[in-house]
Order: sequence, then structure tokens, then C-alpha cells
Amino acid sequence: MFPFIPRKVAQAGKSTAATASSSQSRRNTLPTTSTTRDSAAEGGQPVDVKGKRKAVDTDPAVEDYYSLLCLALSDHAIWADSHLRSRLINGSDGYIPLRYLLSHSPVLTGLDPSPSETVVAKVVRAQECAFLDIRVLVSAPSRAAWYGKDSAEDVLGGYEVRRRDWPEALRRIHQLTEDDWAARSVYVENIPFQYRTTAAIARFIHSLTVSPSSSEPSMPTQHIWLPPHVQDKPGDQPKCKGFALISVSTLAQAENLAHDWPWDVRRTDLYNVADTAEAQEAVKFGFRVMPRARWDALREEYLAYRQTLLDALAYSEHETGEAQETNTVEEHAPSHATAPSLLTTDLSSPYPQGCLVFVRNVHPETNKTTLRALFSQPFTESGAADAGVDYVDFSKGMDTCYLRLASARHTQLLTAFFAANSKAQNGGLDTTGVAPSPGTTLKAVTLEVVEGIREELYWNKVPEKVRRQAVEKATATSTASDQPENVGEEAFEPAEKKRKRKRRKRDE
Amino acid sequence: MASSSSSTPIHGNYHGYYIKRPFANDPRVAVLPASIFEGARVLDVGCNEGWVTCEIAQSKGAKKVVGVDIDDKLVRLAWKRRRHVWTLQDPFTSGKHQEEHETQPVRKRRKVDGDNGEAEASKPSLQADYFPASFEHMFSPLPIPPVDYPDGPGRTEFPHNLTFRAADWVNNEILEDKEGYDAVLAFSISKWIHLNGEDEGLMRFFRRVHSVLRVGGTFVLEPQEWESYHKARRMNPKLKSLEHLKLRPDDFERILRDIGFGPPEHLGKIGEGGFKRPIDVYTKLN
Repeated sequence: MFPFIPRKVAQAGKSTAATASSSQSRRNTLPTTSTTRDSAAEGGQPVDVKGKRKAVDTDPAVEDYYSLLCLALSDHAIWADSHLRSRLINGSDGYIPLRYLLSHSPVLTGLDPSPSETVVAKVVRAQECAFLDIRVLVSAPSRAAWYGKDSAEDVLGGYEVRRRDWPEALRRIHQLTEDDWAARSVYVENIPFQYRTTAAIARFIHSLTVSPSSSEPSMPTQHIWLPPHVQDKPGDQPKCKGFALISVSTLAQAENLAHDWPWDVRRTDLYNVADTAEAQEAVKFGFRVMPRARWDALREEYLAYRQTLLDALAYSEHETGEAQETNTVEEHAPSHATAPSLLTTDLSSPYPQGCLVFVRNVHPETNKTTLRALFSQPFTESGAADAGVDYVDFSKGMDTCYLRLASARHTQLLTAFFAANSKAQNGGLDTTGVAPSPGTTLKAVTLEVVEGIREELYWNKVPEKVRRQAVEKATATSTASDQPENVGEEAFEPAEKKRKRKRRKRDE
Repeated sequence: MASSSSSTPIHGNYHGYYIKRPFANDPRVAVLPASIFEGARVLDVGCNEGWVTCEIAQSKGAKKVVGVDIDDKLVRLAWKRRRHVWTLQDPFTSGKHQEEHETQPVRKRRKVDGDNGEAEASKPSLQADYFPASFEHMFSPLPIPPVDYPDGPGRTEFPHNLTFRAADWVNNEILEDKEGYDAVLAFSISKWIHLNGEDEGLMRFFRRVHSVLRVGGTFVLEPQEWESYHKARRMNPKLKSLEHLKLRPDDFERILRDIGFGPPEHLGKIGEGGFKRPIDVYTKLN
């Protein structure tokens, strides 16, 4: 069971004045399978466009630094990070030391190795768009307070950077709440392959949001959250798999994104959308957007549905072994078909030979318990009345079923019995059967021993563990006279021991 | 069977085929009449990761769909694709159980667009991409319920109606062949069969298709052009030389008609860039 915390509950435990989490700008209330994952640093680790796994990239595109720096100083970053915010308020004309950002901002700490300040400064200065200001840091002993212990050795030199519009930003931020950000957030999917890094996503969203003709500096992308993988460990950096939760600057931008790139009826052309390279790629990849609120609702639905399915599997009559591993077994493509050995079952058999019977004309309203009783009639040895039929493979509503018998000998007894005693099942709870009379529509049950490829096909679909047990049972419960070729010590285990084996659930 | 360690796709068993073609709705499938698939048993030869196969099983009303590929690694991925597609699907799936839920509001369903972004208003069907992909990533895929699960899909519905097999279908039977098919698809596969098996292999393939189809059944062939054979041969030196090949794609129509198919319906050239190829639909006569 994957625990999750509905946003409302998570919020209740958090003060709105300051973010509860100690440092990170990642959305704290976002339910994840591990709350510690929330504090994992998020880096703009570029991925080779061909999608090959790469070791840590040591040289991201230079323009990435600028995008990431803008994200590090976005409204959302300042809003979410009280430490950053207080340094902004108490600092020198809005400037923040670049060193601080490189070592504390979640979008920058992932860069490995950390870029040199000189390179970053160069990049910022090269931008035509006047969003950030950068200047040389005039270091003084009194500035040591900015740096903290980890960089105490070197307080000289470096740069500091600020948002040019920092006073307005602070004023704006002061008004915003968690709900405001949620309303400005969207879930996006099918991000074109070449844009699947934090920095590239920021630029991609920028190009979809801002008119190409606009020359005003703007920063539509405020925050990018890459969902962690279920197997990620705390501290792992999530990889972008083509989807993300994105917070943008304005409500209008969020609404327009959802409107321009609808979820249903994926767009196939650029009607009403600015014709840019990014937009063309977006169309090609099936880029689509849904509002955050919708995503939240679907998440809850998914988790509830998932639990329902797990419960269904746990209690199901269907033989699927451990509930959670069901589908890996079901989905495992059977490998080479091995030729079944002739008639004898031993421990090396892939499945028990001659133990499968296909029955027609059972009553559609019957159930497994009734069928078991009906088809156990031939087996009258005391104490073993229900040991002949190993499993009834029946689905409600069907008028056929398969019977797995404990051994080939039991199969013979069963078919002989019903060949000599023609019986129809008169109702869902009939455990003895009636002689079919000509006047009724009742049809006699017919039994057919399943052989050859059909038999193999059937057993191939049975989970290996169960199949194995059936083989062991068939090997052991047949008498020595029927199977002179028995091999293996277990073949001579007394039948009682087999009966003590845990039985599968037989509930209806 | 193709070894998964082979580095060149000698059988056209490209890995990462769908990275450059990230469409859930394949335009080649969209162009085919729905009647080919409704209630049908369908075989997809050379299914790769099963994107087309899954689409047909999920949204075309097919009774049973089998995807076969020579590369077992691709087949493993196809099973994963099946699970992925299931995980994204609207939970309110099975129409046959709807009577049992009359008191509950029926979720409005719309078929995910096939052709040009327009929703088809035909029979109500499940929404294929209901859940965002992020949940599979965050919480792992959804379990597939057993066939008899009351609220779930039945045996002839997705995903239970879909199976994948790793096999060299040209030369080996698979279990499902015994019951035969109503439709066999051969998308972008003929070149590879031809190059690996030469003329004889190709003929065997066509005859096999004919033998497993019922009378009136459909063979959908998307053949690659002869010009592309050269490039394939250059990139895969293990393939035999082209000089042994006497047959050409232009001969396919004649060959298939000789075997017992009717004249093909040419559904024109689909796809963009280097993937424009004709889709030819043949019907088995006798």
C-alpha cells in the first residue's frame, strides 16, 4: 500500500507563514510515496538527446546556466524558501551571492561539478534580456555571515546576482498563498525528447507562453517538479520522463497552456498557436496539459483504484500467486515449448501430463465448490473424496470449465465414471447431477481429456509455482503401478503428506 | 529467435523504434476500415514493442490480438507496453458489466481520436489515456485483474484479449495459429522477411498468411520499396546479397493473387518523412 497524504491534510500541519521544510523550494505538500523525497535536490541534469543513459554530464549547455539561475531566483523560489527570502530582504540591494545560490538552490545544486562563478557571470552578462543583474562581490570580513561554514575558507571574490525587479517581486510574493500557486500550476506530458531537462523545460514553456515578438523580460516558468520514480531513493535526482508539474507566473498563462494543449483530442496542427520550432515539436510529440487540480484528483483516483485491484487479486479465486507479482508472471512470454514427455509425469515434467479435463455444459450459475463435489463423485476412497480434483478452473457465467486432476489415474477414473453415467447439472447447486431426460433442455456434461498443444497452452498460462505444485502432486499421488518410470525420492512420499500441504482458497 | 544481444537489427528489430514515432494512434491503423478489427482475431507480424498491437486490442473491438516478433527483448517490452496502456486506461472499462452498475453515474466516454483530432462518436468506448503517465512512474503500474473480476474487462477485451509471442513466425507456428485469424497485419516487415529468407522465405510467409486466414479474412500489407533494400543490406552486412532475390515488391500483388487473395485495396501512402508507404488490403478468396 502506498501511503499518500491528501493535500488538505498535509497543509493542515504546516504553517503558512514560513515553509515547513528547512530549505528546499520543492513543493512540500505534494504527496509522494516518501516525504523525504520532497527534499531531494532537483538538478538540471541534461540528457543526451538520443536518450542513452549517460554518466553525470560535466558540461551542460551554457544557456542552461541562465535558465537555472532564473529558476533559482523565480518568484516561486523566493516564496518557497524562507532563507533565500530573508537574505533578499535583509541584504544589499537585492543581491545574493552566486556562491550561495550554487550551493543551496535546489535547481543548481544538482549540477556536478558546480560551474565556476566566472562562467555563470559571463553567461548572465551575455543575455540581452535584462532580467538579472550581476556584479562582482566586494568581499569583506563582515560578509562572512553570508557564506556559512562550508565556504568559510574562501570569502574573497566571486559574484552576486539579483532580480532586477526584486522589490516588485517581493511585494507580489507577499500576497501569494499555496492555493495561488496551485492555481498557477499545470501538469504537462509528452515533453519533446530534446527538452527533457529542467533548464530546457523552462525554455520550452517560455516559448509556448510568451509571444515571440515580445521583448520584455519575463519569466513564465516559476517552478518545475519532476515526479520521482517509485524506486528512487531519497536524495536521488528524478529523471525527466516527459512529464512534469510546472508552476507559471500568472493564472492566464496556466489557463492558456491548458487551453492550447488540451488533454483530450490531442492537437495535430498549429491552429491558434504561435508557429515556433518548439510548438511544432510539441505537436509532433503530442504535448498536452491538464490543470494541477485535475491531476490531483486523478492521483487520488489512481491510488484508490490501485488498491481496489490489489484487494481483488488478493482475494481472487484466480491462481495468480502473490497479488503484486501477478502480472509479471502473466506477462512473461513463455519461452521455448518443450516437448512433453509421453504419459508419465515426473519432477522434470513442465506440467502434469494427462491431468487436465475440459468440461462442457455445466450450469452457468454454478460455482467451484459445487463443481468440485459433482466431479469428485468417482473418487470414493475414504478420506480422499476431494483429493482427486486438484482445482476447478471455472469462471462465473460460463458453461464450461477445466478440471485439474491430482493424477492421470484420477483423470481416467473421472472420465470413465461420466462415460458410464451420463449426467446433466440441474441448477447451480446440483452436486450430483441428473440423468438428462429427452424432454428437457438440460444437456449432459461432456468431459474431454485435454492433450497435446492445448494441454501445453493451458498449463503455460498457470503460474510456475502452481504448476510446479501440480507436477509434484501428480508425481506423488499416482501409484507406482501406474507410473513405473517415476524418478526422484519425492515420488515415494506418502500421500498424507501431500494432503497436509496448504490449500488454496476456495471461497466463492 | 533473435538474440537480444545482436547490435544490428538484422530482422528490422529496431530497438527504440517508437522514440521517434511517439504516437499512440498509428496513422496506418487509422486508415483501415473498422470492420477489419471488430470482433476479429488479429495477428500482427513483426509487432516490435506492440504499440500497434495494443492499440488494436484496446480500441478496435478485436476479440483476440496476437503480436509476434522474432526478437524476444522486444516482446518483453511489448508485454510492458500492454501493462502501460492498461495503466493509463479509464477504470470504467467493461461495457458488459454496466448493467450491474446502473445506479452509479455512467462515466462519459469518448474514443480517443484516431484520425485528425476529432473524437469519434461511434460506440461508447473507454478512454485510453485517462490517467497521466506520471502515476505509473510514481506508484508503479496498475495490476491487471483476473478475467472473472466483476468490474473488469472480460476475456475478449483489453488487456485479456492480447498476447505476445517471441517467434520466427515465417518458419515456426505459434499456438494461436491453430484457431486461425480474421486479419493478419504485416506492417513494414516484408523487406526483412525477404532479405533474411530470400524469395523462398517470402513465399513461405505469404502462403502461411493465406493458410491461417479464414475465407474472407484480410491481409494488410505495408511493403517497403525495393530501393530501401539496398540500404538495409549495406547496414547489415550479415544479410545475404540482393542478387539472389528475383522477386520485387511490385510482384507482390501478382503473387498474392496467385496464392488465393483477391485484388488489393490500395489505401494510399501514409506517414511523414521517410515512412511513406502504401497500405494494401487483400482479402482471402478461397
